[in-house]
Amino acid sequence: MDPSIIVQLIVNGLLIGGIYSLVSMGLTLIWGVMNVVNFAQGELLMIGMYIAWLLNYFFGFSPYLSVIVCFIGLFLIGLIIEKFLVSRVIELSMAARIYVTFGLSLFLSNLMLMLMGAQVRAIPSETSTLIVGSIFIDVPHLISFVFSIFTAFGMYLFLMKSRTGKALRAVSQNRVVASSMGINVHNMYLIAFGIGAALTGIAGSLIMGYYSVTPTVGTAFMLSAFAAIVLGSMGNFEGAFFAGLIIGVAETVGGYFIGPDLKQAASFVILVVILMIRPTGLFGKELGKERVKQEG
Amino acid sequence: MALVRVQDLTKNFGGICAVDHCSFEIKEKMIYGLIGPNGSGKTTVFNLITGLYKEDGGDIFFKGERINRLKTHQRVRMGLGRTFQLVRIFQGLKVINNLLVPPPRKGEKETETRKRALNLLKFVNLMRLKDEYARNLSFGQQRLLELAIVLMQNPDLVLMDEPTSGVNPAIIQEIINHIKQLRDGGKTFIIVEHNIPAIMEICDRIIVLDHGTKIAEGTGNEIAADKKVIEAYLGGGAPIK
Amino acid sequence: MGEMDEAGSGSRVKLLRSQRIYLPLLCLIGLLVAPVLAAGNPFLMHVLIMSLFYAFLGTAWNIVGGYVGLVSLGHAAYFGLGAYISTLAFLNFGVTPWLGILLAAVGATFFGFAIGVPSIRFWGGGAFFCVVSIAFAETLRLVFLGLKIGGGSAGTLLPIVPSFVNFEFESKLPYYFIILGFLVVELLVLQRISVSKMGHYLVAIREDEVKAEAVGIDTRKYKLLAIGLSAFFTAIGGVFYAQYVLYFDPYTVFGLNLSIFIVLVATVGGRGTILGPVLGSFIITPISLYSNVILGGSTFQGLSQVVYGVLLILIVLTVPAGLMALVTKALGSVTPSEKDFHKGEN
Repeated sequence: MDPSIIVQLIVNGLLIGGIYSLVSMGLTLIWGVMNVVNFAQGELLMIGMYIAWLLNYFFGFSPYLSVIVCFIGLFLIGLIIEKFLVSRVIELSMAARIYVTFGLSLFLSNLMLMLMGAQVRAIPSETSTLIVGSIFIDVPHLISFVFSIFTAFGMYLFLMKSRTGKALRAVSQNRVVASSMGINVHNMYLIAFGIGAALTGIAGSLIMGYYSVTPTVGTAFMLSAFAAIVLGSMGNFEGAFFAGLIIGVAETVGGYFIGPDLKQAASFVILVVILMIRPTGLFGKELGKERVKQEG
Repeated sequence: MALVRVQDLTKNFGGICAVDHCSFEIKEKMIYGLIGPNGSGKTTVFNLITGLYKEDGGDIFFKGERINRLKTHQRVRMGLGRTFQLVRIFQGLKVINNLLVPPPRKGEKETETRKRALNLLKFVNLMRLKDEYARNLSFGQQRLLELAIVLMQNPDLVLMDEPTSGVNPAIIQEIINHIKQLRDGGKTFIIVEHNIPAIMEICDRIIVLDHGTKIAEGTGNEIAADKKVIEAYLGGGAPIK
Repeated sequence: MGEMDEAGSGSRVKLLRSQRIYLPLLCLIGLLVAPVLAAGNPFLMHVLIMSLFYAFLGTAWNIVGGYVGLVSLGHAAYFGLGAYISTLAFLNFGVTPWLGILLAAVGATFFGFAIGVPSIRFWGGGAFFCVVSIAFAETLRLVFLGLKIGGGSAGTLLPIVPSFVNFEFESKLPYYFIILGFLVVELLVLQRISVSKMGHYLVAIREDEVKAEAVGIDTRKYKLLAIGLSAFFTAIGGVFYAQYVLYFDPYTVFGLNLSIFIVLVATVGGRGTILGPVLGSFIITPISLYSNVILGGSTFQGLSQVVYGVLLILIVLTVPAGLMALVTKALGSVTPSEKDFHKGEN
């Protein structure tokens, strides 16, 4: 088989992987800080996508311009969701947290279905392709990828250098100790969820450069993102970034061989395989168990 | 023969080495204290011995057998019991059922199990609360309940993680008395504690950990005079008087 | 939850005992008589059958979701496997669905174990299991669709050859009594388990998994057993559906919508109680079916899911023990309060 096909697939996979990375980083941040798997993460992506589409449809905004609106908008939405919903379940069992975020995802996707209808919406764009050697790079994909890399890096700096970022990381490590250091843990939850949603909002806007949206696109992305955060070690921000890229490649390459419809199955297989051989992920901290005993 | 032998036990979390080639021996029918500054790896060692964490290196021997490959519930069946730093009981069950839920001994009849449970409740002075839901107990009472649950398994070794923390002095004394009584009856204890006076009073021998490895071992007086121990604590947690 | 405790203690609360036996008995008699009332009304008959049917599925889910406390949002996987295994055996090899039920149930149980093993761990505290459950059902749907198994998207059609051997009947009445029989047997099995050693272990695992392991319970083994049993019954439900409706496709039998509905029925009714899902089903199923007729297909689709999403959130936040808790409270017995229901977990 022609090796340049593999390279092409890998390139394609990386480009879409950038989007997965953003969604996954948001998901893993929420998990790390709050110990919540946000099942509505896919729906937040979908909302970001619709916002970008609407801004384009009514005002002609390019999806790259809408990034700012989506970032702010989804951040606010994230804050609202945390304040009025998630904060109520954070002290309850894992099962309760799952039911509530899953219920939210149901609510959001079907609300959008009722509001926007099931039609596929896309932003009309001219396809342009960059040709490097024998590799075809779709320019919208590339632009989105570059944006997502910048965003990821910016987020990384924020987490590492800023005071809020450090506080978030402290809570992620050990909630009890963090609060005894004077960090307002509940505010951290708010911020974490807001940022998690904002990252996804950015991804949603960027992906509208070449993708189309329906109310139910969220589920597929959620599954891929979850596979990524497990692969990248749950709670590990850098891990989620790299794992998002890996998942993108795996799905694209896998999709080529088993057919595009079964692309999702690739993520599932990866997820099961990781869980079987290395459930702590590639960057392995045993976060789950540590969480079981959050002690000083 | 040592009841427990830990050799070169190592455990890493990401970049942090929580337990670093830790080795020690536990002899039968004694009460050992396991102390050390915060972060010295005490609870991690417990988790490794009970099987809640998988070690990255080293061996754990219990009753002469290497138990590294055994799952937690298998180690429990061998006679290893453990209480938790943040007390763990079955909150939604009644006190008596907390003791009846765990697997009984092989071939034991239900009536016998019930009798043992009631005796244990008498032992820890919780008999009058036997039909109360566990979540309604005071913190000190929950600690006593946890002790009773552990004893239902009739363990030969009991690992206790800060059994006196958060508990009023009267109950602390009760717990100490129970432990001594059980030791006289043939059980072995390893107790992680920050409550130094309690440790001094109750322990036959003390093992000191720092940065995941053993730095000293001996009687209470020997430890209090040990320079290494004093340095470790002054660098980190509360000093020993 | 009350059952778990009373069984453990030697004394039975007298007030409860009569209710425990007479009330369900009364319901059973009512159900035996109900078809007479529905005689002239085939839609009502259908609603009754579906209510029993979802009660059956909800009860099966309850073993895993209520007693062990795992969140399975992919039970449709076992349902679909049941439907396909039995039907394909019937269509291709002439195997009577009565035997097909056994094949289907065993097959689904096997998959339950296979999927259970990697996903039940301490890490992630249940989120792993949940996502794997969703992904598993979705993957099955895609595989059966993509590989065009049994007709793929066109769906699988069963020939209309009514006879007992073929598990097909012209009138709805036999279906009614069959599903009623299945449900009763299932409930009895669940009842036996809830007072047995296994039942107690499952509850302990739900209350505090780490503690359960620390007192010597082989948590992995019992979680897998619960998953297997749950899959077993769910697959039987799938076979019943195939034989009743005589047509299905991957979307219907593997779809997330089905998994959600099952969860809703059990959660609204009462996770962790034996009769909770039955109650839940008899409330939600009729409302759902009649709404579908009144509102019409497409409106119903979106709106119903919105409602389900909100319901799920509301129940978990306000009455996590389900409506059954309200019922038992109204009947005067003592139950742990709602907030405490969740506090004990994790």
